[in-house]
Parts: sequence; structure tokens; C-alpha cells
Amino acid sequence: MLSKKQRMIANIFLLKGNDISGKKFLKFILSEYYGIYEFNYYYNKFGKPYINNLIFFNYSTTKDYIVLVVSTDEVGIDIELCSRLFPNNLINYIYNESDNYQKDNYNLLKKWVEKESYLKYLGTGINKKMSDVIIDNDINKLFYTDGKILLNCFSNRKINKKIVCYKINDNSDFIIDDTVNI
Amino acid sequence: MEKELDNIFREILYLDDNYSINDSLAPGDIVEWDSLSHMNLLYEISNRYNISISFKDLKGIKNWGELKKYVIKKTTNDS
Repeated sequence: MLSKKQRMIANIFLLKGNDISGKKFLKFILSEYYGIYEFNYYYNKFGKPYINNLIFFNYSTTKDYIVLVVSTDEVGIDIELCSRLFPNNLINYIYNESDNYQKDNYNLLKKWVEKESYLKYLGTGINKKMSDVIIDNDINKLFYTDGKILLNCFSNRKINKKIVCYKINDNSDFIIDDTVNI
Repeated sequence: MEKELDNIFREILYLDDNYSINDSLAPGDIVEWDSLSHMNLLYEISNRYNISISFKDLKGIKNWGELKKYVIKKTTNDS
């Protein structure tokens, strides 16, 4: 958990310039948690960033939340607010006609974060309709909700990772999964 | 057409009339423009202008201004 001082710093850090940047948050977490102050970004052929070829990360933001996963192997994460209204015109974008799906807002959002986080895990970007994306069941999946947010994270099995979810301006943060300290 | 696209942008991202939209805005610059909003924006634009937006083309597009140019060019080429 971040200390009060760390949360204050994170708030200033994140809100500077009125933008919320995952890379800014990553820089903050790496320095505060791991004492890593200098690093270089590397990119795969699709533009997905890594750090020093040793640290993998992914982040997602929604309204007041930012979630970051830091790991020793490929990861992908996505977050949405439970209160978010899923656009009706995107239902056919995420589901095939043959899919059995529940049309309620919660399950639509759940499917969205699942598929979006999977695409981010693959690191290929959006290169096809989500309805054509088939998720590999051998990939480790973590789904989390507290009634306010929905979050999905894909990672290779048995890897070290830390997921930090931070609510900006609320001075609250929580670790969702902290397999082993990296 | 640029103004029309700005209005669509404002509508999909639920931005109020006072918010100043500039062409350098990119996904993630504002909290409202997340992945779900981005996909909704593309879907709305493609439906309103009856164009097909290619994922491959989107790779080179970095901000709202570039997306608008792409859409305007697409509507000209596809008509």
C-alpha cells in the first residue's frame, strides 16, 4: 500500500497538466516501490512498450482510476467503471452472432475488459474485430470487481506480478494481486 | 465537416460545450477518451459517414486531428 506521503505525491504527479498518464504512474511506482529511477523503454514490433527488456507492464485508466500491472513476463490489463453504460452499438463488435451472451450492462462491460485486456496482453493492438478474438484458456486470467470497478488481467502462468489500482484524488489505493515481489 | 466531427467527438466523450477540442488531443490525454470511448467513436463515425475504418490505417494515426483528416479523406475517396 502507498503511504499517505506517496499518495499525495502520486496525486500531484498524475494530475500535473490535467492528464492521467500510465507512464507517469509507472515511473512513480518503479521509483517508490523498487527504487528504479532510471530506465529505458523498448518497444515490440507493434509498439507495445517494455522496460530494459526485463520488466513488463501494462496500464489502464477509467474516470478516476488508474491500474498498473508490473511483471516479469507479458501482461495485459483493462479497467472499467461498473457504472459505465456500455454503448449498444458496440454489442455486435464484441460478440459474434453465435455467442451466447447476457445483454445486461455488467456482463457487457465484463466481456469488454476481458477481450481488451487479452489484446493488450498479446501486444498486437486492435487488428481485428473483438468478436473474432478467441481467448487462449491456458493464459492466466484474473478478474476482479468490488462493485465500483471491473478489472481483468491476463498474464503468463506462474509469473511474478504486482497489480496496483489507484483512485486519483481519493487517497486510496489497493493491491489486487501481488504474487511475489519482483 | 471538421466541426461536425468535433461535435461527434464531444457527444461520444460526453464533453461539455466549454471543453476546447484541439487537434493534438490523443487517446489517454483526457480520462474520457479511453479504449471503450475510442471504439465507440470509431463506430459512430463509420456509421454516420458510411465508411469503413481499417484497423491497419489506424496504426499510423496519433491524434484527433489526424483521425479527422483520415475520415475526411475516406469520405472523399469512398463517395
